Amino acid sequence: MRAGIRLPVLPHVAAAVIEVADSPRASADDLREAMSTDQALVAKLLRVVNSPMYSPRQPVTTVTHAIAFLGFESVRNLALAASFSDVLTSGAAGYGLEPGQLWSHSVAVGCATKLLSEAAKYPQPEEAFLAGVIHDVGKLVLSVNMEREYGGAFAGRGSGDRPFDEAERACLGFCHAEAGAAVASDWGLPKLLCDAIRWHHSLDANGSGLLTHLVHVGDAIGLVLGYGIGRDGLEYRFCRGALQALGVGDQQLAGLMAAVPRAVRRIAGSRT
Amino acid sequence: MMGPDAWPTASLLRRRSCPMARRVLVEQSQVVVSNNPEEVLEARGIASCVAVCVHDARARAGGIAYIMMPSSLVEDEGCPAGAFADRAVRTLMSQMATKEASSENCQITLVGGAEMLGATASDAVSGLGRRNIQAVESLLRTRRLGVANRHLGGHRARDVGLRIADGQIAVAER
Repeated sequence: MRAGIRLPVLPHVAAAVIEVADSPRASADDLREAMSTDQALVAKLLRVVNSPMYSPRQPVTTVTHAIAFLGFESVRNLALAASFSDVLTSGAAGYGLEPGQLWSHSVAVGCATKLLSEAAKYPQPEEAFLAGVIHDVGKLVLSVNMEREYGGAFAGRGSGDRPFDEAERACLGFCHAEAGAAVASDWGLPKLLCDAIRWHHSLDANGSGLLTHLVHVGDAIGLVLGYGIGRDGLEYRFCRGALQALGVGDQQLAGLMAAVPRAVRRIAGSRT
Repeated sequence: MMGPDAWPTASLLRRRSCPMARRVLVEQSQVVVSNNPEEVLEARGIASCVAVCVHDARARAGGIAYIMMPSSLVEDEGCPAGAFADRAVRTLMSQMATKEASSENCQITLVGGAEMLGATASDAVSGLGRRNIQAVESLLRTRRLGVANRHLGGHRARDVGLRIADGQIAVAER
């Protein structure tokens, strides 16, 4: 599948953070050290920690403080998510996304997935946030490498009722979810995250794990609320069973959907 | 890639008699009202949300409420006025009144309400668009406010621009 596809380069700091994550003996100091070369990343991390998703009583101003506030694993996952911002901020013209719009969608889905994970009592909300942020990285791959093929293959296909990922598969042999999972695997991200990326549009196709359900619903929330919508629009199927699997009721759902815009504004700035 | 001129408001901004027109972005859950004839209000990426666009030609005032959800059943003091249809319509019309607009003169355009494939109204996520449309139309009926134009449904997001000077509306599907 990957023949002819140029995979995006893993951000240097993200590689360092993944290395820390892979080491069983890694400490908070190692994480702080890995991030120390990129103060912009530290600023992005702190913006997330100080956002309405956490609302600390006192502003969190250092990585050390963030680790004390949220714990090592949580900060590691948030740092990883923040380290992908530059990659995801570039445009994805093949999908009709201007620079910044894929990042806007990624942050919205990250926030929605994280809020859902708390409602569903998922043990690692920041892992859910990370999965939500990187779930559409495959669009970047396909946009960069296949913009011309997309224009040709999808021109005049009409609005139809075939899901966009199926259309991708029919035209290209694979969809952005599959491409994204390949990238994530190439980057050395854990299998759990790769699986959530791979199956986020295809819940019925496997006995999906809870994280995949969370990303599926989080993605749908990002779409219906209008964050970073490209030419694929809302042309995806929603699996109603996902909400049942998560045990999240309508009232809870409405509350967390209402909270998404505030969190996105604080983390990603103004929506584009 | 879409450049800035590809947005629907571009044509509205080019009006000769209004060379200094400027965009005012309306985001999800916001209500923005203006009587500044040099302004064009713009809401972008309207998916299942519904943008209620109102204009009173006599008062030369207009506004947009970018509504996210049907009703304010959720207790959340921090939620902006425009998040829920009931509060948003009330806020929009009361803010229009402060600009000396009257309900009888208001032209209303609805934009949005798209949904995912195979959605049903009972589904809080994929059917959100349909639920928002029903809620907004019902609220407007209750207030005896007619809708002049509808750009609703489907599976694509839309952008809308409203020129305050003359109430011209431009809508584009993404």
